[in-house]
Amino acid sequence: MSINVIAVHKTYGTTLALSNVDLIVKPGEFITLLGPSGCGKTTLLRIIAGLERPDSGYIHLDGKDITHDKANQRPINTVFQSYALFPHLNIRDNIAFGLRSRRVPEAEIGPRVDQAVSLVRLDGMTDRRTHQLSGGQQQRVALARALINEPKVLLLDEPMSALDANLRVALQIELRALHRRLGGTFILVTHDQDEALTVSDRVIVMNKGRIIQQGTPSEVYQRPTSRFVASFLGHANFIDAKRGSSGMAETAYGPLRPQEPLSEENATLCIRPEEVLYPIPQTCTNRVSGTVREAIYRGDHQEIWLDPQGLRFTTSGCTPLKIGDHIEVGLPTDNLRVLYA
Amino acid sequence: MPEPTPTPLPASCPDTPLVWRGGLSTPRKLRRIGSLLGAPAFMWLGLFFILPGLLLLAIAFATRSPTGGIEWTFTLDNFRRLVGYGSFGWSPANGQIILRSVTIAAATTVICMILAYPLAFFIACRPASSRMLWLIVLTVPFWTNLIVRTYAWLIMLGPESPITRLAAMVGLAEPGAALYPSTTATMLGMITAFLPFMVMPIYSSVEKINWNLLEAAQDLYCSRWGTFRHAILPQTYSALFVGVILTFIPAMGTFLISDILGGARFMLIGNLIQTQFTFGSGNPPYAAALAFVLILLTLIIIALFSRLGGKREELV
Repeated sequence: MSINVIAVHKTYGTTLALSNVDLIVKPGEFITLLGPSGCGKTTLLRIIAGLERPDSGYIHLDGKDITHDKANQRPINTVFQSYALFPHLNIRDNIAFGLRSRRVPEAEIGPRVDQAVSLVRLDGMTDRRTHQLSGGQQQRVALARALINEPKVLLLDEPMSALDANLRVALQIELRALHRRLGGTFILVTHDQDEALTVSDRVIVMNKGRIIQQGTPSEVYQRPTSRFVASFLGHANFIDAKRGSSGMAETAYGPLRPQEPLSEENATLCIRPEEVLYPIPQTCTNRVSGTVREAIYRGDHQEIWLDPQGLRFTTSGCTPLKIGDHIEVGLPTDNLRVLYA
Repeated sequence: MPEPTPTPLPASCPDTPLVWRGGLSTPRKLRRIGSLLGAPAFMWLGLFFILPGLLLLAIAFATRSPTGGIEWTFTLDNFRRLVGYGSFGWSPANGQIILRSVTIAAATTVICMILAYPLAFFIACRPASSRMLWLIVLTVPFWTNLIVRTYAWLIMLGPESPITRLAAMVGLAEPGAALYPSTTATMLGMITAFLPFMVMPIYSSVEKINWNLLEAAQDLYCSRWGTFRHAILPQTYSALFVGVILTFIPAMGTFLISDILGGARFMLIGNLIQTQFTFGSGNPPYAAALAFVLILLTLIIIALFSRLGGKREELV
């Protein structure tokens, strides 16, 4: 089902939470709202869920205005960050909760719970209490409790934030598989860029109550349009630049040829650590030399900081670099993006 | 025959060492320290609760002396009298008193619960600065003696008080007459006295409520009532249980409030015990039997209630 967020504005007292946000979510899409804490991503999710009222603007679900529908009237379910499982109910009753609220006949509830339970692989645990489960299991219960209602839109509010790193990755992959299997529209909120890139079809990067950039994971990672997006998704080197002659940019490293000529007097050049070339090929024209300030062993690669400008890059070259080594690296023109914001 | 292999020590084995506050200790040692630290309290309870309780039970089977004291002759007369058999045949008076005591105590508890529940939410939802003030307002009455507080009701319900005049105006009372002694006056006094005992535990549980559950309930199609029933109420069960115990037990035993506000004809089991324990005019062995029955009755009601709420109790 499609969700249309139209000019949604929300303030808490004097704090701006959302500033005229527009967003279209296509049916069956898995999108991620990504941003630092306080960027408004959770507020947007809660407004879609009906747990929060926007000051102005509209929410349309499949073209129908649901802005003033209460949470219990919307065919939308949420997996809460804290899971919010009912401690006085066992797993089975937690999962059946939504169906019971809607007075679905008990004869129908039984098989549907069983189905939801096996979907999240919790078979044999349905008689347990919530506190007898691990964090990962509780998360699955929360997922099953939402999915059993066959929501038109499933909202996930930082569902992995309480889990340890390994489990998180496993569940991200599982969540993606689940989305492929069930279809349906999923909206996930996270501040974890890895998670956003892993699970979603489309990433919506938010900051200070606005949508800064949206696109497929590779679009937002490869072609950030602002310094904020480039630094929030992965690591990036930023190089202050002035417009030079014949498409060149004047920088502290000397003249460099960026992806495109600078259209303004001042700009920032951006290149990701893994795009810096070392050893440097003969054809590379943007050559930078420096001394290794710091070299960190990362198992499958080495992470290097280069003096004097602190250029950061990774190398998987077979000869490990040592602090003090004097080297030359390449900044390929194709990867040297120009940012104005 | 091969010797049986020794089974490994279970974790709860008395001498399995375990780390305790940085020092190495064993469960046995811990138990010893525990009993040592608990000893004063146990001694206190033994000396001032269990011993007098047994004495009370013994007196209940003794005879009243002609001067109104205790004569150590074994008899079951006190219990016969208690269930209504007096020198003039059977009378329902005692049964009525006990029934009235239970009814009044239960009504007080229920009304306190109805009043306290929203009040606890009101206080818990105040900003931290004024919350303390509300709690102080709630406990201020305790700074005054119960007798003084109860006498204050006499003035409030007296013939000239605004409350009485208002009651007379709307036809609830005769003009010029006081509103006491009456059941209503007694209930007013009791509710006033016991309300804080109900509010306090509920307040402390409301303060800890997980509000996320309310949102989850709403997200899962609950109505307002359903949200209350499934997301709020279960989180306060244990507090309600504590509140009921703290209110019902003193309400069952009260005699002061009913004495002052209920008048001579309005007798609760507490009043009966008090009159009968008066040396000289009373009958202490009979009073002891009554007191024993009161304790037993309260225990039975609390046990029934906790069985009712017990299943829910463990969940919170």
